Amino acid sequence: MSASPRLLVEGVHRSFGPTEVLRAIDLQVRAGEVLGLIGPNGGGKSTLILLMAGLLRPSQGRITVEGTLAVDLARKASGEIGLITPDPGLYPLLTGHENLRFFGELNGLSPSDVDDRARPWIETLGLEAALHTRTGTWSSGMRQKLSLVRARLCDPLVLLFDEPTANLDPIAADAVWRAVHGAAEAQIAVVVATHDLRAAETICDRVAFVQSEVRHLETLQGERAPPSPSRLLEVYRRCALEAP
Amino acid sequence: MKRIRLLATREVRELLRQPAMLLAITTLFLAIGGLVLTSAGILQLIALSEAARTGTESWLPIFGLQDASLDAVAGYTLAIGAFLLLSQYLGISGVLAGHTVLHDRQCHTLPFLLLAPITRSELLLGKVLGALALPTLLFVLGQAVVMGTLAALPLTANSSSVLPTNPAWWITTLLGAPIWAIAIGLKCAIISALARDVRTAQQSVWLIMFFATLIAGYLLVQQLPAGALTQLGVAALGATFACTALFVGAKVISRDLGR
Repeated sequence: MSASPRLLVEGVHRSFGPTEVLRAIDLQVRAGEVLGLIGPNGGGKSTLILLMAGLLRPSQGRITVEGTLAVDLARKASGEIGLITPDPGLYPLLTGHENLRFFGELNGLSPSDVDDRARPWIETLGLEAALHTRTGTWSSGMRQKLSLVRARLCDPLVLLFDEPTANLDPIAADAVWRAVHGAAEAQIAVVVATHDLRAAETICDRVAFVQSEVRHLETLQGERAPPSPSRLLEVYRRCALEAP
Repeated sequence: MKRIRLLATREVRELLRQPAMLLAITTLFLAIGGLVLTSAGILQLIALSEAARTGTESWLPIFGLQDASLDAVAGYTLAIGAFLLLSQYLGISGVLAGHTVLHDRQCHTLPFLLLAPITRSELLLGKVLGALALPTLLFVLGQAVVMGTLAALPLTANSSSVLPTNPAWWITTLLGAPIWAIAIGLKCAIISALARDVRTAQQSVWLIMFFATLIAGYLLVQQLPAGALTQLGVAALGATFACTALFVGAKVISRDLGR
């Protein structure tokens, strides 16, 4: 893990009209580190993720990625910030492969680059069989997995996960957590907003409780790892595989 | 340019896979074209017989057409037909361009487009060009078939300003109308990107579309007799509106991207 912060949040406030959603947020994430954001619904986690992505402008304060304002990065559209949202953001009338090709080429990759970079992830996440069918017919878990593949296509400096396992079955959720872990291992700065405290405990290096402000910031002890597979998950996986 | 093409190609691909809209547009153009051709055909049949022509012309004052000839009625029919085809094309352009952004909002793909290395101008232009490609093709085909057929009727000889025999018609069909469609489409796309919700976006798009199609339709059809130079001027005015929309759109969509 690098010493200097890659993502820096300094004194950030954000209001929507008269409503102050976030105030005095100070956070930093280093390359290879996973920061967890936990807190109640409406606490401002998703807003903070959008601010970090540069898709929202802070009312006060600043957010930088390697010294450049996140808003400027988003405006210049440099492709250095990867985002995974609860809604995977795919075109339902296009196939999985067409979606990947479209977003990959839009980010400056050649079609063969997209295929080469996506292949190992597609195999790992078990998407080969469905790849050439329209994503509108896919389950939410499969679409979320494809959005993970898309996020990893472009070697982002920062990966932001906003409730990535919402509505996912345990197998898909397990794959997502492994991908979060893999991103940190690849020296990407990772931020995960989640309600899954058990996963956050094992996968995050630090966890911030956000409810309008950072009420508690804790460095977690022990080696970071994907949530360990429970006995029931193995039973679940076996039953799912055996199902006709 | 490559990214604009990518965005446009994706729009076309999705439009082809959801053919209901294309079917509706084709039906609309067929209905208007059929109506105009049938009306002009009936008038031409009447004109073939001197007795029928005189008899019909004696009825025209009942419809408020004092001292009007059958040729003049044919001229009105052609002008109305040309205006309908054009205004419907412009209206469809506004709806489709507005819907393409709404589609991205509904699919939650907009943040991923905004984070990709493309400028807001490229994004807007790519989406609008893609949304308008097929309707423009249908419009040009429709115009060519309907107006080309009408030009062959002897009765329309005095109404040639709205027909392909007038060089200005070519400028309007191939240049002016598509440019105005892009200008209107850009405005509707920007509104759809900025509106708080889908309903507000749709209501605003309909409002803009109503006035914009009337104004652009008037400029493009009513000014056809003024000649090719005037039509080039109308096309230039449309291009100015399109460039302004592109410039303003790129600024305002950047202001708070996550809306």
